[in-house]
Amino acid sequence: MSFAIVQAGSALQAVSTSGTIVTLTLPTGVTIDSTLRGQFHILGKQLLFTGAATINLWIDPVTLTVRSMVIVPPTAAPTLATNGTGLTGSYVAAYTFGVIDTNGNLINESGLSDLSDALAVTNQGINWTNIQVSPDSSVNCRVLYRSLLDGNGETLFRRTIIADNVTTSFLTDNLPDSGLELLPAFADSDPPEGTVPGTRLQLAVSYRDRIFAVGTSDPDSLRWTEPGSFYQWPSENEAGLTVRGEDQYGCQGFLPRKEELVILKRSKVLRFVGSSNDDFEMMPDDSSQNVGCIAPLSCVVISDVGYFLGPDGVYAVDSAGVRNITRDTVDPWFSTDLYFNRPGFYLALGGYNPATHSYELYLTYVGSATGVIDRWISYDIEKGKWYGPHYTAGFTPSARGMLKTSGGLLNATIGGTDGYLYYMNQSLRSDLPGATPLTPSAITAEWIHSYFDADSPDFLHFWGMPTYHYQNEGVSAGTVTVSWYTGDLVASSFPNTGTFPLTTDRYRMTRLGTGRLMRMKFTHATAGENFLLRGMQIPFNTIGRR
Amino acid sequence: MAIDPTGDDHIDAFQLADHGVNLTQSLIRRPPGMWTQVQNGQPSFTYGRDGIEKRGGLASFHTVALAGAVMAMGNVPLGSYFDTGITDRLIAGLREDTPLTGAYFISSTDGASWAAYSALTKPSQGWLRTLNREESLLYVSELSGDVAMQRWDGTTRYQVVDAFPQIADGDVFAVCYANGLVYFIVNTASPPAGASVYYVYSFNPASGVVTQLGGTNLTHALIGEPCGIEYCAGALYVISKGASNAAGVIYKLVESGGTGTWTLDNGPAAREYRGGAVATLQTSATVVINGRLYFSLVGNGATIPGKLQYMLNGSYNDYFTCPNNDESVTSVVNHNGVVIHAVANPSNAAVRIYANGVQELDVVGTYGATSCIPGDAVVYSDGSLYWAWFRPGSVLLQGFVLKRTSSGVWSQATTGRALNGMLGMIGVA
Repeated sequence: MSFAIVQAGSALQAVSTSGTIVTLTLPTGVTIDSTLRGQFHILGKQLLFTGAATINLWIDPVTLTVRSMVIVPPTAAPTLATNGTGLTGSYVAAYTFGVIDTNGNLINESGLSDLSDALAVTNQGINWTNIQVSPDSSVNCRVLYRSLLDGNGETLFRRTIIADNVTTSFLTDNLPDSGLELLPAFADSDPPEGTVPGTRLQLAVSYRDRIFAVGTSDPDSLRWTEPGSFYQWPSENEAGLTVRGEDQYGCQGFLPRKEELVILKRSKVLRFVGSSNDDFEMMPDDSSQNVGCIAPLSCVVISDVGYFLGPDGVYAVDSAGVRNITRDTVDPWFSTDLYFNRPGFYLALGGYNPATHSYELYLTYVGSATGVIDRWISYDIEKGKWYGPHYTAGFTPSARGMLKTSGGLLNATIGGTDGYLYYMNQSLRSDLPGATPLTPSAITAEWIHSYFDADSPDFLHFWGMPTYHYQNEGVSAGTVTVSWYTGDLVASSFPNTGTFPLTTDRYRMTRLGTGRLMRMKFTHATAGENFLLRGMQIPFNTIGRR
Repeated sequence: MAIDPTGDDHIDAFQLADHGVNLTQSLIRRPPGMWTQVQNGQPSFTYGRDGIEKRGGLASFHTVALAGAVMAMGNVPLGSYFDTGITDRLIAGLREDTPLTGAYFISSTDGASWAAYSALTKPSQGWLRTLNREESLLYVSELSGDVAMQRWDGTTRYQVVDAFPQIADGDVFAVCYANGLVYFIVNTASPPAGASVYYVYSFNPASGVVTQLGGTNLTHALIGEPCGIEYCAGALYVISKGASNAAGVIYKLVESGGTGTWTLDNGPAAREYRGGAVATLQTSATVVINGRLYFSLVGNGATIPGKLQYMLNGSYNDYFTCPNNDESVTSVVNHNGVVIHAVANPSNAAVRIYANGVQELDVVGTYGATSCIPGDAVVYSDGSLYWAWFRPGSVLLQGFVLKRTSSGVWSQATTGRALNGMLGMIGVA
């Protein structure tokens, strides 16, 4: 059964589709910074959390056990000494910390400790001592690796697993090379940022059965795991986001498309193509110049098209290139200080709304403090048009995602600063705050049409009695307020007001008046009531040129 | 001048969602349906998309607030903590030619009630063995050219080993699981011929890497038909019937930088080791328990009884000698460290089960005529051993699952199923 995983303040909580909440227990010493936004990822039926906790976390979806995603390796080499009989030659050894499941399967493993000093033996066995106990409460085993005869440590084979986090020695190792070589070889792993406190993964994404990520201290370095593994980070799985060091931000967004991972910097778009380490390749996008992403969490892929917020508007990226999709229509939203708090753009959130097939972008209103996400705008992908800005009086949004409902449908969901998750697109035309008492909050629709000029803006017009066509909302429905202005291009107010009832589906309004131009505003704020405006017919006379 | 209040002309504005918000075009000379603000409005999804409609509501689906402001969220489409129905499940394969209401498997969550199970589809080839590992059910086919090994994770069946290097189309003879690896022994020809060669591979389910182990000196002429492959005390062993399938041999891999060779470790024995093709299935009677490699030496059917033998620290020993001259140990399995083996005579008139060498069950006397040719046994999460048996025959292949509790109590977990010997366990939501 699907469920929601949530970073709620400094806690991780799981929420079932029926609303049951379970607070997850973090590993000892691990905390979550409530001012940082973490990211959840899924790989190989396991759930991962990066970016906000002191270390990267791995969550078992069945038990909700939280462990370290990548275990810190041992800090000391084992000590080898002779004991018993059996081996001849020189050997080196090392070990890891690990996690085994109830069936004894190794399901997580740290990087390797330092190599031991070489031990020369002549028909002798080997005693292992100084095998550290991990301070990580997730660890429940240590995995010992040994070289073949006269090996230098380049290839180590899994000698045995000590199935506890207590024992500090292993006696006596006299397994010949013939047996050792049958065992799994150690796979190199170089822990990513966020493995130890003080570093953090800035962004991560699950793509092509791997986790791709960049860290905060080196945000121009893209790292990725082995396929299907969230804890194996070979050092060679790395690529630079050229030009390294060109700014302090590095990677500012991931757009995992079907055939490429689009990587966004502040002023650059890169395309990471290929399907394996053999053919991975980083390529600059040739269609864009000085285009980049300013808001990492604005990045959303919808139908293989990526959307993101740049400093001057919203961009779409696909195989054809990168294009600005706001410049021709709503550019002032992004290029002026009339609508939104532009310094807060970097905190914007993106989301997909499948019910309206829209890309949504959550921003801060111009009069609000940076960090307060209190408006959103929507881009109708089919029509290629923008709508909004939208807002709710019921609560203040703070996160955006997609969650499954109890009916199994994936629904756009807003998280609030009040600690509630809100499904969008509900048929009830009210917002229902989660906190009791459950007082519905009216959705205030306010739609302002452009000036009507009757194709002759320089002529004085008499604006007659418009008729409105709309959906009948039933016998007890309320009214819609229409405000209008007639005159020249100077006023921003709507001095005249009338109403029409939603108990009918057509209404003829009073005469609007005289003026070269006319514009009108529709306001509807009745809780629980819809308003669907199908169209209008506006009669006019052209009086003449004055 | 009189003005007609209805107007001489009119503007039709009925495509209200066509232009959305536009703040860049000149303020005049704009088309109908171009807005400067559509707060909480969207293209209508009721009766077409030309109108503008108030957006849908926002509603919380939980009544208790979370621990703080929601900073991030994710949908987890996985079997989860909230799945009260997620349980371990025993799965047994039916004979391919006798589907049960469309299913080729039966399953049980309590070991007592079994029902047709259609969530897992059958492989295109008969299976050799199942391995419950890596939180998946691994099952192996006899034919490497078609289906060598598949993995079922409770939801999806994956092909994890399709073909082996060096081999175009050979038969998988035996497999075992140890050290996180699956070890296979496969012949280059199907069926094996005198000069054909047995290759041994390891497969790492975590990485998908298939590695050939040892040299190519295991010819069919040399070792006959393999009965089993086992990893024991740091070495890999192939237990085989020997030349002409008449004098069992055990080969041990002495690996050396990928160029190791197989060396004879025991035999040739006076007779063949148990295993091979029985009623179209490859069976084996080898197992490793507590560091001992157990294998069966077949009796001669009349005057020499079969034995269960074992290897410990390189030394080969007798463990059990069948009480009657015509009997052999037909299978041996591990129940949490207890050595469970079955003894039968050639006619299957007497079939008994022993635990650590002590008879616990007279199978024929208790459950009627049977043939002990088990495919797989599994220790279920209830701690009991479940063991698939069947009775060869041309018409009624009635098989059943035997259950042994941890205290040694035997019962028949199923009746009247035509089992194909496959038995596994996996958690399924």
